[in-house]
Amino acid sequence: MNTASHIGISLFCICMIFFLWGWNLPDGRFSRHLLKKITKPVIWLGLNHSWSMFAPRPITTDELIRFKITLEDQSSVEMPVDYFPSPGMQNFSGDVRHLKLMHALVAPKESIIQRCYAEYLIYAYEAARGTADTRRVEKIEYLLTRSPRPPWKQAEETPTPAEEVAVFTFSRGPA
Amino acid sequence: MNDGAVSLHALAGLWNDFMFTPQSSATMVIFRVTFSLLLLVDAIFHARGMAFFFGPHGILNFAAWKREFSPRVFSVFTYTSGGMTAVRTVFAVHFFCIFCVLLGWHTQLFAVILFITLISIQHRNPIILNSGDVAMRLMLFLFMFESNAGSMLSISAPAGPFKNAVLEEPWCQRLMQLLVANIYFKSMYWKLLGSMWREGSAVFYVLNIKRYQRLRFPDFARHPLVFQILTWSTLVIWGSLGSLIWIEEFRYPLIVIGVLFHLGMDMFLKIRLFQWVMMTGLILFIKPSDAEWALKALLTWL
Repeated sequence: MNTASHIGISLFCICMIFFLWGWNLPDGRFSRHLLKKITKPVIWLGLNHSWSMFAPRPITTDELIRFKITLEDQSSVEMPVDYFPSPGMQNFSGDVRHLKLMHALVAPKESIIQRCYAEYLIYAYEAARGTADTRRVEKIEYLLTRSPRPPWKQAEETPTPAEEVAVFTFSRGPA
Repeated sequence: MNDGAVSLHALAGLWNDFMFTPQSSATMVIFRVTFSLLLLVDAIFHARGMAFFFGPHGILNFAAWKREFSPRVFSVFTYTSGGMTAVRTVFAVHFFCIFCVLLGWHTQLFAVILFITLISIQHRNPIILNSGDVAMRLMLFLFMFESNAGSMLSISAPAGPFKNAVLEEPWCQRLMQLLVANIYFKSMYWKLLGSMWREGSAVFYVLNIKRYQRLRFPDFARHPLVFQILTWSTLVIWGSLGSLIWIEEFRYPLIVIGVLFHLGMDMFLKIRLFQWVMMTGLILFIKPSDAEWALKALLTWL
């Protein structure tokens, strides 16, 4: 290779090293400030990254999720979903992708995925039930049960009181 | 060197030596085979949930994705109807490219197409991605610039008796090594920002959150001191893999420690392929002469 190619490759390498180092730093750092200007192309190309696994604060609560469907006659049924950790289920069939989805569904900030997943659940519920049942699904609630882990220095694992909260409600518009 | 100062000429020499002194591509050959196997496993996992994760009526339906995500990210799905035929086609091309890279057939060309299909699939549903996916994506991005990874253990390699791998300027391998070291170092850095990591309790919580648990941590070892040691040694191991791995004498012991650490994590935690992606990344630190020796031994045995 000639000198011009070496200079070109060197410039590319220096830019990449600066990008890899500077991208995933806390806000306020100079490099982070500079790299914010190229956020759009970086995300577009899929080069965005974050390496804060279980950090700075790891998860400290066990979480279970269930989905309550309310039908047009106001009766309610529970939609069984075996790929999420659910009450009464020892093992769930899902993996970390399902857990990522679950975290997005129970996030405090409302997001498009919560709504899309509700639509998916309705689609799955209506496809799975018998054709004799034609009642319309009116509402879906995402119910999250949180159990904080006992303090880490506690020798015995005593059960901690769990709390259940409705984290999202999807109401279907008129037919 | 003069009076403790270093000249620009000397710095440029160090840089050139680090990035451009030709070396055997044997390490990249081993990396290519291992990395493509990893991509294959990942693709199989993805394909199993094809309709659920990426289908037009899946958890992120195509209309919503096109409205909310498509304008911000690159994905070939933007230019399709988003139906199952499109999903299956992208997956078929993805699998084909993985096999081409695995077999070393036009490796660089298919690595480029593979990057396109990988980000297309990942961007079709970014909600379900984890660090392993991101690390794999970045590794593949840099791997696109590698031109000699198919020089051995490939259908393009000349048949006959063992020949040494092609010599190449290792700048691409160096960038990939820097990426791996950066992941370890940043991970330690972010952990150090948290009080639970500093006080030594973090690993207790990580290992005891049931939804991430693969195996229960053994009862006889459930003592605060054990969790403290595990927490702090995690920080030390990650920090060392990000920094001391550049020192020749520490490199192989650290690779062994790193592999054992990742295997241990994989045994207790269900965090998918992340551990295996990082173990694959550690291959990049194998000395080319040792990689060549290993390849020779393998080919002789075969």
